[in-house]
Amino acid sequence: MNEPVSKLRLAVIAVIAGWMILGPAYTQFGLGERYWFVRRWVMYHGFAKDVCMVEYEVVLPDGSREGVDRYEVLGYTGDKRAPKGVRVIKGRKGIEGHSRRLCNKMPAGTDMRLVARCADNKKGWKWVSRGKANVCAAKVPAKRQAPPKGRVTP
Amino acid sequence: MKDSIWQYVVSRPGSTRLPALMRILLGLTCLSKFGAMLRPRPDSTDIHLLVMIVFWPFAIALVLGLWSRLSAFMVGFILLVGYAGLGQFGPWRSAWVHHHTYILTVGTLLLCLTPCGRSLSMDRWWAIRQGKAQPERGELWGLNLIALQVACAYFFSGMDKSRWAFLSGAELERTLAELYFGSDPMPIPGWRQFMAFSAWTTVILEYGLAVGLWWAPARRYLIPVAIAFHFMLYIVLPVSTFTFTMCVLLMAFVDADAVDEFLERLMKT
Repeated sequence: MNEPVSKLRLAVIAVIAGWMILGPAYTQFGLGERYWFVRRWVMYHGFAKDVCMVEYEVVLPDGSREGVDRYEVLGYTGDKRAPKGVRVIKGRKGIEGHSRRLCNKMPAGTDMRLVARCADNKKGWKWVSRGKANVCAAKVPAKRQAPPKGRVTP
Repeated sequence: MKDSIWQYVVSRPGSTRLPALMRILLGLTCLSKFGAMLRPRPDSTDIHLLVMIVFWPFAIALVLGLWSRLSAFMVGFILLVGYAGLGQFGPWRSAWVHHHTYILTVGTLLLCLTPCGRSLSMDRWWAIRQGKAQPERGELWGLNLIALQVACAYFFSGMDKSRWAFLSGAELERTLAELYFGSDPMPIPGWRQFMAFSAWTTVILEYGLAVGLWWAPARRYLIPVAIAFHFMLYIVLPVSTFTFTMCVLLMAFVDADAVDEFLERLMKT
């Protein structure tokens, strides 16, 4: 191969290789702003970033604890599959809402504890609750019911 | 030694059947991936129509090996236009900006720097008919750039995962929770340790592939490991065409003459 062709080729290779290496390095090493035209190789980086892991336990009269099958409490048994919003709980608000639903289904005065951790971008998991407080102790607002239709007995 | 490295970087002579195989496989992957996205739609924009009109004929030509290098350039280029035009501002933005669409686009575009039409193509058939067929050998330096793109994807992906959130296994655990198990901790003893082990294995493997694939003695072990890794990802995560594209692009590391010999042996038996 003649020399000018190989030098031109080397220049082409250097430009393309430089783009491939320096582009992601620029954004991923935090050297500058992110641009849409500079590819970052960050696969599944932000995926499932709000997911929490939860365990509910009921405190029995003798002080021992028993795990709660949250699907069973909410009526998702047999072929009735829980929707994704119930299976995957996201964020503190999601946990609060889910706890409220469970408490509403439990007998009054139930002492239910929650062990929960939520995704954290630095630590991996961050504890939200370690089961020290009764999550049903707070006053749970009853679900507002629609007025019955038709004739209402006074 | 210096001369051989120089020769490998700017020339890399070898059989053209390897880039030809890659051309067919990448062309089919492009048709499979982008075909569904590039159908006429009631809300088609001008860019969508432009990408669609250019993509279809050249993608089919790429698979058939018709004006192969031009077809590889046109498909790669128009998909980059799609990435920039539709991926950033279009109504179906999310469909275009994934890693698997980008690497397929770049892999196809770089194929135009290889003599991918000199074997297994309509171009060759036509040249034979005219009595102008060239030997099935050429300079495969473009494959080095494809190989570099693969190595960069592994390296920077490994670098992104070199954080405690990933290495602790938490990111893997929450990904599987979102996709499969829900928010209930897995009742399997050692599950979290297994997640952490899988996370470390993934990162070590990605760095190992980024560096080791350039070393010929390690390659024969690393390529099967890489393929197994990608198929495992394909089964566990919704990675679309990423697995198949990476398996095809890994061919850029392989000795083209060894592939040629293998194909010859296969056809003789």
